[in-house]
Order: sequence, then C-alpha cells, then structure tokens
Amino acid sequence: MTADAGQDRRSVASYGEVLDVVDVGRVRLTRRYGCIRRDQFEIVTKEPFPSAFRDWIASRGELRERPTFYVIEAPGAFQLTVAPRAGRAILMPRLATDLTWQAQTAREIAEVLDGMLNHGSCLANTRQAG
Amino acid sequence: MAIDERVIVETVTGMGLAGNEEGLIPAFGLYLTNHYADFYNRISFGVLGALVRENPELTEDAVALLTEAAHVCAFHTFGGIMSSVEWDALVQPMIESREDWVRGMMAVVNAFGWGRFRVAELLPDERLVVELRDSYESSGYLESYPRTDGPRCFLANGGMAGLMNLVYQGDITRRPALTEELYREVFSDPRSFRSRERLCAAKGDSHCEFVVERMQG
Repeated sequence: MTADAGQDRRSVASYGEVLDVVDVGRVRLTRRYGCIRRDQFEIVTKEPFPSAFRDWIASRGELRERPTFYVIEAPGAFQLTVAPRAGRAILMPRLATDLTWQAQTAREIAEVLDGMLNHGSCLANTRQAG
Repeated sequence: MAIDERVIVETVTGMGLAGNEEGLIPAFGLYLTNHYADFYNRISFGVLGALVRENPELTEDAVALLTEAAHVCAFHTFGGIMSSVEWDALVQPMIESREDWVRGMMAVVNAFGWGRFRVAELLPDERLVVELRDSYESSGYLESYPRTDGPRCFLANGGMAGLMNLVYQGDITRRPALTEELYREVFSDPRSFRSRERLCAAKGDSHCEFVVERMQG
C-alpha cells in the first residue's frame, strides 16, 4: 500500500468506501475512506494475532485491555483496536497525521504482524521436523 | 451461547469511552461524540416547533425529516458497530441466530445509556416490538414543553427501523460497505422496515414503545 494508492478514487469517495486492498504476506490490509484528511485501515489475518504482537504494539502507546480485545492509544498518532482471537484490528489515525504517514504506519504494522506470524510458523515447522 | 446483555454492558461501560485530544471518541470503528441530551433535544424539538409554527401543514414533513436523520444515524452508527472489531471480539461469539444481531445491538445501546431498551417481541424478518424506559427524548421533551398528543422519540423510533433494515434488508451479517448507495438501496426498498412509536412517555404513557414492520408485507 503506497501513500498515493487510491488518490483518484479519493476525490469522489464517500465515507466507508474501500480505496485499496493489499496483501502483506499473510496479512490483508484494507484502506477505507474516512474524510478528506484521514483514512481507516483494517488489518485481517486468517489466524489469531500472536501475543507478541500485543507486546510490540503496546510499546507504541497506552494499552487498555478488555477480556476479549485491547486498544492501543497513541496520542497525536493513532488508535489501534485489536480483536486478537478474531484476527482483526482497526487503525484509526489522528487528524494531526497526514495521509502518507497513515498509510506508512498501517503498512509497517502489517509487516511486523506478518513477520511474527511467519516466525511462529517456522518455529512450529521446526518442532514438527525435529 | 445466547446474548449475555450483562457481559456486554459491563464490557462496554468499562471501555473508558472518553473524548481524545480531538474531542472525538474513536470506538467501534466510528468517531463518536458525547452530546448533552438536552442539546440534541433542543435542536430536534426546535426544528419541529419552528416548522410547525410557520406552516402547521408541514408537521408530517418535519417528522419525516427527523425520522430520516434517525435512519441515516442508525445505518452508520449501528452498522458501524456491528462491523467493528469490538463487536467481533465481544458480541459475535455469543451470536447463534440472525435475531441475536438485534439483541446484541440492543445490549450495546443500553450500555451507551440512551435509555433502557427491551425487546418485547421479535418475529424474524417480520416484526420487532421494543419497549423503552427513561427515553432522553421523551423526558427531555416534558422538561421543556407540555404533554403532547403525539410521540416525540424521533431518533429512537427511526433507530429501531434502521436496526431491522440493517439485519434483514441490508444483511449486515455479510459486512457490506456502509455507503450512501447501500443506504438508498436499503431504505428506498418498498419492503423495507419502518417504525411507529405506539406509546410515548411524552404523551402520558408509562413508557415508550416502538413497532417495526415492513412497509409492504
């Protein structure tokens, strides 16, 4: 997902409209139009998010945990709400950020998550092989 | 597992929903706002009063406008909530039937403190009857105006129709994009749902009650 992705569609988009969908390895990243200054990003995997992801993202802001989901609040940057068992998260950027930063941040989160999922799989395969 | 309203209410009220530095509440994939109920009521009843004072024959049109605003609100707010990560984590695991989408949404609404909603009757794909106590619209109306001869919970009334349209007409269970195009498609269908407020505390009833049915059976 590039910063320019969906620019043509953005000019005529309405709230909630899908601008771009990319697969970052095992992570599907969907960008939806929010308003002229910010988009919303959905991060989906076919498997649950690893607990290591929570530990990593918690370093980016304040973590609020409920029994079935958690929220990372990064003032001035974003809020990320994660349903780990459902394998789904929503990134809601702050207006203080620009569209380029928003897209880059969403991509970075997806890449880290994909790396963790792949790392977990390699370990599992190694154990099976061993 | 059936819908456990207590768990939903406890979880949602414990989410610490509060405004951020933007003055918005990002939750359920939406940007919520925290209004004073009196503020909303003042605008809503002010619009009604202004239109009717100038042109009494516009009463039905004024009510239609306020109801339409409620339909749009329900479509985006309820639709957004039922498509959200929080819903996936909290409510979805309790859902066993399409009707549980209605009951689950009602539990979330109760957690928001918009009144005490209770599903009195739900016939799948056909009819919904909801009782509402402590409606901020009817109680707000009576704080500022004398008892009326017509119902006054325009937002709650349109909201109930919106909920049934999302579940049975727009099939929110498939998570469609909540676009203007879908809104028009769902709500302009001649078989879409509409609600009427059969009882309203603003006209002296003990509580408010909404009956939601299809325009054309």
